[in-house]
Amino acid sequence: MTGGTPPLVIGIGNILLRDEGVGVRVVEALQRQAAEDRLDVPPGTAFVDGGTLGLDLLHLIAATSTLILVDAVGLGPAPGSVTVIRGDAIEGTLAGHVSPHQVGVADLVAAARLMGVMPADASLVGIRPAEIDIGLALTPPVEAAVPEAIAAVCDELRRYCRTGTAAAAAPARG
Amino acid sequence: MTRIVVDPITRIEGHLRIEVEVANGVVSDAWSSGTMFRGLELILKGRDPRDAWVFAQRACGVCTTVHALASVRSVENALGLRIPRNARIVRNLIAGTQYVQDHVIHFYHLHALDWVDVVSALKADPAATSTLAQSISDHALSSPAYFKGVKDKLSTFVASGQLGPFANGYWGHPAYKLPPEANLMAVAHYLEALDWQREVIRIHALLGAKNPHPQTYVVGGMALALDPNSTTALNARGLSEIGELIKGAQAFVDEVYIPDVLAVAGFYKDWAGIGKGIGNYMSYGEFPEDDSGEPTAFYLPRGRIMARDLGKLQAVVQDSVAETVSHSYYTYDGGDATPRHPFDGQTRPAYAGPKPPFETLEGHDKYSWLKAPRYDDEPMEVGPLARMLVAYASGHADVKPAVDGVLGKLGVGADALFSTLGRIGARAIETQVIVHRLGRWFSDLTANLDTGDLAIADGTKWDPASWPAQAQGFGFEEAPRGSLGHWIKIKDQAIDNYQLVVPSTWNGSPRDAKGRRGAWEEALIGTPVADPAQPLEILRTIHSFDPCMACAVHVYDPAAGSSVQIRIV
Repeated sequence: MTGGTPPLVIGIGNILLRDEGVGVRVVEALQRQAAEDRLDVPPGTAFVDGGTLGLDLLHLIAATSTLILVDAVGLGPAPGSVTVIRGDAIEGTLAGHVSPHQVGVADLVAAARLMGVMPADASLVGIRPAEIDIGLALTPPVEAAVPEAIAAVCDELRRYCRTGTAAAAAPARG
Repeated sequence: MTRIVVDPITRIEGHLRIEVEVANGVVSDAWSSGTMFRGLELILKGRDPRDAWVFAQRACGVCTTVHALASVRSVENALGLRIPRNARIVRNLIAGTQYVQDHVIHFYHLHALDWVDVVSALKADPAATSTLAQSISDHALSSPAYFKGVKDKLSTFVASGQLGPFANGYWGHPAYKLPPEANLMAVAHYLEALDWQREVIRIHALLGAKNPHPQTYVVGGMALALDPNSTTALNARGLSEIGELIKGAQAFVDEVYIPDVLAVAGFYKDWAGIGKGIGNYMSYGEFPEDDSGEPTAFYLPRGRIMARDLGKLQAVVQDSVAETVSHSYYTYDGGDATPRHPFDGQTRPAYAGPKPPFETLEGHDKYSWLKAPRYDDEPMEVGPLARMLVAYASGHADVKPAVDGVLGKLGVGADALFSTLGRIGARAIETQVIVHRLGRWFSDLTANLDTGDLAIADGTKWDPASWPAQAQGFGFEEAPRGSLGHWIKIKDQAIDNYQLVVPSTWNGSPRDAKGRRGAWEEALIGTPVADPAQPLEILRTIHSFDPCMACAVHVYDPAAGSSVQIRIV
């Protein structure tokens, strides 16, 4: 572990919009598995349902030295594709379609960096959505990708917490 | 005539599109279009009314708590529940904290960059910035070394090329009027506000048991154990932390936010004559200060002002709210122009706009996913300005002197309130009034707990078997952005109909059946536009309302825009 604080996993998205909420759904599954002690992750890892909040999450990010974001992203070949982005590349991935100085997840990461509280050990686990439409359930391909996303989150946590930042230079998958 | 399209104009969770026509350098007409369909009503139908707030609070990423509160209030109203005193005060503390955090964040992180040129701050002299800062406030962080540090940090950030929150700004636009030193001071406080807000939101973590997404609302009160002498409940230690956090919030508002707003406003007094708007203002009233449930006991009063007549405060009753869909992408049984009260509201999408991709909505009668809410058939503006005007007209003991004080400092009359600048000023005044009232509510809570009253929820109606076969109710709330109403019809213990009329639907409304514009549309008329390619002035007026389309429209409509990648975060 590169700092003294427990790692933090934040799931982002709107659960009212089917696949848009996949980040939250992955974190919910992680919370269940952690409660049943079925996860091989660093002790004290916190799993947070971030919903569609932006700057409200800044205090959480500022207090950790290892951050994993889980979100629906338009990357990968097909719906359900899992992609991992690390370090500075996260901001570029998030900063897509934002209007002049709006506050959202992209700005959350940018603000954390501007303030110097963005952890050096940071990953984004992205799942490509199939459908963003009214409803609470994930579509089948995205639902089927949840175990892979969970495995990716656990891999990232172990990468940072067992071997420190050096391993973060290894190529990202996806 | 030039037609300008600004799309998107607001945050990514929901889309707002503004189209304006500009003639002779000023806006001559405007159309506000919500480009996404709202479907929360459809998700809630058939569900347990006691769970509605859990879904409702996901409607918006910015105001999770406000939908939770409006939702539990609607069910409590339907079931005839009165919540215990502790629950009432805790709800005031959560909602009041939300006002303070939300307004400060809006000013520094959304709106200030419409007035503050970040790039110009790089030219500032730190010593002169220090002199300026010390001339307007006793705030401790004001030395030349401090401002030099901020300037260095900003230079590094800009040099990195990844501008983050400062990307896409219209830096260097002729409408920016602040000297470099004022810009640097504002950037410094932008950074301080980021730090500050993560402290103040701890009040929600303490009272909401969990942050984000408070878990402690419950129909009938709050699901929070409060006991000064307990080791497991929110106890004396937690309460004392809340007290300290409130004091810290007061200091920031008094020493940083208010002086900054006054300083910035001094350079932009011409904006007291721009963005006038409809001139009708409405507030449902908020912050009950006794247990009667009567609006007369609200700290911020319920009422209406029509045609800018501050001499005549008018009543607000829920029966008079109705929506038409003549210019919205919905159909109604009985005709789109027939107003429907939310109890009988219908949510039937029927897209009738141009086939995407398209350049303009021109020539389309229906042009928005927002309905057109009206009060007694009249369009209304809602939000901090409406609340402060209603309170001012009522002779409010705290609001009236605060408003008069600000008008005096700026050397302008009450007419200046009806403007883009007026909205900014009203939001700041409201923040100051509420942050100080938080201290009073906090004392009320500790005093009540000291009497031994630890009750926090009325569970007598928890069992659905105790409910009538049919019931209906409404939950009114003044959210930070304005009047929020949830209407619920319950049949056989399940939700039969659920309708929301949210602040950004009032303000962002399209034209109604009679062709009258909504609040944003009307406020844009007459706004100067120096450079149609950089419509900074349009953003100023729209942002002065603190638009939140995540709230007004929830669901992306594939027929109305580009693909899924529209939100790649």
